[in-house]
Amino acid sequence: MRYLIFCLAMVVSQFSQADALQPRLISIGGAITEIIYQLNAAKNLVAVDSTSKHPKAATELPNVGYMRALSAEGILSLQPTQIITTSAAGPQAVIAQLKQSGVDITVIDQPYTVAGTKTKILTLGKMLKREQAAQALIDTMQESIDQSLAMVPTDQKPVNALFFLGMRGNQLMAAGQGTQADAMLKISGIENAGASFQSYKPLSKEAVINIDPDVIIISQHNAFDAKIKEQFAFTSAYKNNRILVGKSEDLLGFGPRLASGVKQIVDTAY
Amino acid sequence: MKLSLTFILLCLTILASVIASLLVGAVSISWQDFIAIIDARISEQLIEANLRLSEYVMTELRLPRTLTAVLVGLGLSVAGVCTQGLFRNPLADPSLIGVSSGAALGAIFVIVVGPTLFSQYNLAGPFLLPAFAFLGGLVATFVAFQIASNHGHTDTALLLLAGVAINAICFAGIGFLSYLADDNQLRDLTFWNLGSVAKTTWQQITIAACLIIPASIGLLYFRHALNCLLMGEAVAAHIGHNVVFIKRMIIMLTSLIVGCCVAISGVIGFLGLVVPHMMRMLVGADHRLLIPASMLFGASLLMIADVISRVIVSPAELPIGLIMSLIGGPFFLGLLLKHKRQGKL
Repeated sequence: MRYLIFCLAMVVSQFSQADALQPRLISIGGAITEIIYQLNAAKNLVAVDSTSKHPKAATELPNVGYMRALSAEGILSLQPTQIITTSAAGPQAVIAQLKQSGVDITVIDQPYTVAGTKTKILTLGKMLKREQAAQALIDTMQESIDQSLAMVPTDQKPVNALFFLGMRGNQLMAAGQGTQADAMLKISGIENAGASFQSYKPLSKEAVINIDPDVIIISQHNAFDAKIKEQFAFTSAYKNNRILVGKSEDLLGFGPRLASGVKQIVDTAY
Repeated sequence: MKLSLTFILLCLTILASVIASLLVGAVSISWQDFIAIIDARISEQLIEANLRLSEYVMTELRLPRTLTAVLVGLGLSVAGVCTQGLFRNPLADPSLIGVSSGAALGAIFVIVVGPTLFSQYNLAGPFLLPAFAFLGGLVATFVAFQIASNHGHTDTALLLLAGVAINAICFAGIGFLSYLADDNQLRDLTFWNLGSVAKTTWQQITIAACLIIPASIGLLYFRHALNCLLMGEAVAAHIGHNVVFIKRMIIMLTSLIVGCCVAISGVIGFLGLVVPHMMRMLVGADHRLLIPASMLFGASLLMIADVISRVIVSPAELPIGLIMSLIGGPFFLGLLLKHKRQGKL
């Protein structure tokens, strides 16, 4: 009974808050934050997570930490009325606590495809009452992707590529099946040379030479290492200068910059 | 006189830590609100509307953390004291005989293989990780113990060596599971390895309390025997202690406690090793005083570390394992230097 009264009181207080105040939005997930800014709906945004690095304005908002290590109290201290996130957010216990506290949590999960990204933008557009802006964003994105894919020759065998994630030292983490990188290669009309394994796996330099991919893509978080390409000196990709070193949020974000990621990959490969 | 003062101070510290743990965090709660909420809870009155957020944060978010920190802090410290006493080695730690790595292997197995293997057992979901962690710890201890046992006698040196081998096997298993893990699971693994007291549910706390508290009291029962063991096993046996039984019980109880702690909070290092040292400097090596002192201080230290972890980068949160090392390391070094200067070391 006490719980029922508590829950009722929480609901009532939520309504009275919503009447009196502007909605207070927290975005958890880089792509979601980026879309919110692109849709010009960021004025109600009160905080973001640490994966939200774009645009720069988002980094100036309070930061609730890494999306997989959230703190319920930290988030509640910002008195949000709505949290938008993906299923990658966690830990699950914290998400449960947030739900229990009465905050409205929307989980937007879409497959890593062009269609999935469009649905993500459209869903956010509907939620934030910016349908037109969302449609415009989708149209621009599709147009740009079409332009990039027009560069891909249809009369020859597709090239293959190895996609590496944030190299540290000598450890190469190559993208296998079921990764965002694999999805990105599919969209760009390129075969994944790492399709024989699942997820990200360490690959020795010897194995890379043995696979000898046509293209090598390296996604880094921050500063680009000028010497990084030289590690692949004995591959066809190096000889033909088909190595792309890009920022991970550009290449793997599956947000508004999807088209620019596809363009970078296609430009390098063909 | 000096000893009773020390214990009064330790009791005050734990009281202050509990209050700080309930009062301090990202959501600011004033003293008046704090007292009003406790008052309303005790008298079962309805909380005023403006206090609802504070009440939710205090009772649903902070109280479980406080209790977890108390249980884990107390448990790891008492397990540390008893392992050091049993092996007569100030560097001994339950992790030496493979308890922690066994528990970690069990937990990581659930994180990585659980989603595919146990997808149809959704009901058991929240209990799988703690159950496997506990099971892992217990299996590791059992194997180490079996190897070291010979006709009812347990060879301590052999137990330690078996622990080394078990640790190596468990770390190989953890490495293999990390290799199998996808990138999301890998990130979960990383955070689990850094420890946290924020993820426990009331059910988990209740189960852990039902195991950790009786086991700790059980260890307290062996305080005299641990004192005698400090003089050597032969002396202890001559005094009339059943050394084999005592050693077995202490190992089983510590592995039970450590398994439970790892299960509910992940890996929190440092406590089991350093709290006993700090307390030995304060109250001496007598286990009758050392065990309760370590229990009190271990619980306080973990609560304070938890408070720091939640305010230092608020509204985000730092893993508690980092804070433990950051506050405990320099504190321990300071104590060492002080005692070195005084010629006590």
